[in-house]
Formats: sequence, structure tokens, C-alpha cells
Amino acid sequence: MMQLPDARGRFGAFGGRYVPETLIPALDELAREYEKARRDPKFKAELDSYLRQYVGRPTPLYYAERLTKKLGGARIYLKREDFCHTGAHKINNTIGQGLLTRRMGKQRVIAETGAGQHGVAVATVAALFGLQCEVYMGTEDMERQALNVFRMRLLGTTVTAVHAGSRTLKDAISEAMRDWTTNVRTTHYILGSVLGAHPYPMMIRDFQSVIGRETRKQILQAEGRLPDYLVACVGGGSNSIGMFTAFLKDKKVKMVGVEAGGLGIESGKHAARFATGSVGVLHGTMTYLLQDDDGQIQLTHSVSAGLDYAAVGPEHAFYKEAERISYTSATDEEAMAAFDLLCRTEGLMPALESAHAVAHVMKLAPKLTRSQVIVVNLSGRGDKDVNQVARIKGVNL
Amino acid sequence: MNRIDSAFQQIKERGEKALIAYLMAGDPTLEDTEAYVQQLADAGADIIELGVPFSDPIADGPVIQQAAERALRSGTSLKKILATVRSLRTKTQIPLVLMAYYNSIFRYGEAAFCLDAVVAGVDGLASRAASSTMCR
Ligand SMILES: Cc1ncc(COP(=O)(O)O)c(C=O)c1O
Repeated sequence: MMQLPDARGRFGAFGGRYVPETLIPALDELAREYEKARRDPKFKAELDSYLRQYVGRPTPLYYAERLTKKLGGARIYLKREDFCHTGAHKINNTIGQGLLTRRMGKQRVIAETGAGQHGVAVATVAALFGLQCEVYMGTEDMERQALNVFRMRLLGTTVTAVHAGSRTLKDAISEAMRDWTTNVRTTHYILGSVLGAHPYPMMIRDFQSVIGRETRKQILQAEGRLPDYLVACVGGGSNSIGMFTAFLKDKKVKMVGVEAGGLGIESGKHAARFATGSVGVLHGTMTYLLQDDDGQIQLTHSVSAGLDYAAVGPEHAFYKEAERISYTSATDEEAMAAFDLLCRTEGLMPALESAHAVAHVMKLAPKLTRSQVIVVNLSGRGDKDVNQVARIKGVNL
Repeated sequence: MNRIDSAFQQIKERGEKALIAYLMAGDPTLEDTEAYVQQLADAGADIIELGVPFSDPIADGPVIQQAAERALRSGTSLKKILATVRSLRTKTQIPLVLMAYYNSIFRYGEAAFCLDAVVAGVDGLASRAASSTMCR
């Protein structure tokens, strides 16, 4: 298979670099440093060591026996990214970018965050590597994820509220890009998903692809064969592409990305870019977007802040059109039902983002047989969402 | 010679510096923009930049973002901005440069935009993060 992206950062028609001129030198520097680091056995050893001893990798692949029985179809395995330090897969990427920041000799990192998981993972790495850190977050998300805001502050990070636009992830990204444009000499922007201008989508995919490499080994060990289905939720698309990449050449392995269906596709209040979106450019990359006829970005809705974004990673757009990965969505309500089910049948409290993947498994597994295998990426744990879940259930904590 | 080059030549001949003014098109409405352009031209501006409002202006600060939000609330679109330019050209020959984010142009269609903009009487385009070969 050809190597993606190409030298210009393109995944077929998607990706690229659509940014203000002032950022091009920084992107070039980052691409150069990343390329050097990738070939440097010392960097690899350092990264592996942090992933093992600090993040807690490899994470287990867990056979969910009770969930399997309950759904009465395919055997279901959960890739336990919820075990990662800080509670989600996001830290796989931030450790990598943190090490790169050190190599580039920069003292300050900035980031955007939606669910707060990426922000916490950046704040953690900033503390670990002694970097100054500022995280931008929409005020709407700060309210939904108050616990993570406090966690970041405890870690010594400045959390800056973004009041502009819809006050969610896309506005936080815009604000972080503005900061980066101004402070590019001293600052590295740690983007949290496979979005933005080249080399970000490639680099973040590479840092997350440890998920799939482990999964492949683990499922071969457990089942003696590859899975029939891989299922993961898709916000920007980092946990999903991280799991899928190691299996792309295995034509028999079907892959499903689950977007946020919000209040239902017909309601218009969702973040299912592949359901009603079209091609456009946002935050430096060409990909599928939720936009109107004039190219104005539409407001999105999801119960989970981490899936609530108008664009999807450009590599996903490529595999969608190539029909290698299929995409579907789960509504807020379905995600909540999956959250409850996983709590009660397995004693696992998933992040609301991950619950979207589980919601699809609830539909898929019963249609399959006991001889078939599904692996779901449990991208994070749900502690951060407990307040939000209580609110939805009408419980006053 | 195009309007921008001849404006600069005249400024040079007069030994002056150029005054380039910026307006967010459609803030608060396009009728207002049409009036403001004429007033600026009369008051001595040499070139006017017209911002095309975009929902997520990463290369601008809060003042322009808020101006864009007001313009979008009054229904401003790239198509309507070009109509305003066409109408302005019956009244003033001041050079007009559009400042647009690439997604606005991409959605309009690059080739169609270049043609329509030239026909309407736009003199230049400053695009945020476009390919450098556009409209050549
Ligand atoms: C636990 C968890 N899963 C998934 C996501 C979605 O991001 P991505 O699609 O990049 O994995 C987030 C984002 O914040 C998250 O916190």
C-alpha cells in the first residue's frame, strides 16, 4: 500500500496545509524534527520507556464476557485505553509531542481541549517535562467538564476561557492557533487529534498507532486470528485511526467509525460529518465538514464534548471515500444507554465518547454469531463525565 | 494598467504614502458597506479592503471576529458581496481588495469565483491560506 500522506501532507484529495503564512516555518520545523526523531533510535527508546513506565502500556485487551452474553452475538473485546494514565488515549500523543517539544528547545506548550481529556494529558506532560502550559477551552465545555478544568489547574496549567463563537472545541482551536501565530518562536502547539495542517494528522496518527499494534498482537494471542470488526468513536479521529492503522492491510477486518449523532441526524443537532457534511477547509486542513452553502461552519451538538466538532481528520475522509472504513453514528440517547449497560454488565464506566462506540456494538453484535469477534476501543474512562451524566439523569449531586 | 497599480503610481507621483482602509463587508449590513466605501473614497482612502465574513476566522482577532458575526447575522454571503461591488462600480473606481478565508472561495468554486470577482470589478484578493496560484 502507498505511504500516506504524500510529501505535501495530502491523503488523496484531503489534508494539506491551509494556514496563515506565518505558521509555515513552524510547520516545516515540526515536520523536520519529527522526521529526525522518528528515525532516531534514542527517541524511540525514550518514547517507549515513557509509554511503558508512565502511561502504563501496553493496555490490556479484555474479553467482555458478560457483555457478550447479554448481547448474544459476536465475542466482544475491549481495548482498555481507559487504563492509560490520565484516563484516556490522549496521553499517547502528548508524551510524543512533549518529547518533541524538548528536542526543539521550546519552553512553552499550548493546546485546545474539548472534553478536557487532551488538556489534562497536555498539562500532565507539561508538568512532567517542566514546560510552561496554557490550555484554551470553550466556556460551554468548561461548564460540562468542570472537573477536568480543575485537574489542569492543579497540574500547574493556565486554563484560558474562550467566549467566542459556539464556545466549544472549534473556538478553542481557533484561539490556540492565534496564540501560536503570535508566539511561534517559543511555543509548540500540541494539537490533540488527527486534525490541522500537515504534519499534525500524520504525526498524531503515528503516536496513537501503538493502540492498534498492541491490539493486533493481543487478539492474535487470545483468538489465534484477526477480528471481524473494529469499532471506535470518531471525534477528530485519533483513537480510531490509532486502532485501525495496524489492520488497514488486512482486507477481511471491517472497521467502523462512530460519530456523534446528537439528538438525531434529522434534528440537525449532531456532529456526524459523514452523514450530512461536505468537503471544505477548516483549521488548516481539507476534509469533511458540517457547513452551510456559503462555507460557514455549522454548530454541532453532542452529549460528549470530545466528539462535538465540525470537522473530521483528513485521513478518515480519505478512507471513507476509498470505502476502507465505514462510518455511522450513535445518538446521545444511545450513548447513554451504552454507558449504563457497560457500567452494569462489566463494572466499567466508559467516557461518553467511548460509549458511542459501545452503542454501535449493541446494534452490531446481536447480528453476528459466536464465532465472530469484535474489538472496541474503550478510548477513555467515564469519571470525567459523572457530573454530566447526573445532570442528564436529573440527579442533583 | 489595473486600478491598484495606477493608484500606487499616482500616490508615488504625488510623493505620498498609501492609505488602505479595511471594512468588514456586511457589518452591520451590505447597504451600510456600500455607503461606507463611498464615504471612505471621498475622504481620501486610496485602496479599500473588504473582509468576507467567516464563522471561524483563525487569522483575525476578536474585533474582526465580532464584526464577522454581525455581518453573518444580517445574511451576508460572498455572492451578495460581489453584487455590492458590482453596484459600487457604477459609483466609484477606488481599488477594492477582498480579504477572504479559503473555505468561502472553495465553496463558491475557485474558477467561478475568479471570473465573477473580475466581472464584478474586484481588483485583488488577499486570501487566508489559499493556494498561491489562484486567479492567475
Ligand atoms: C475519551 C475520549 N475518546 C475519544 C475522544 C475523541 O477524539 P478522537 O476522535 O481524536 O479520538 C476524546 C476527545 O476528547 C476523548 O476524550
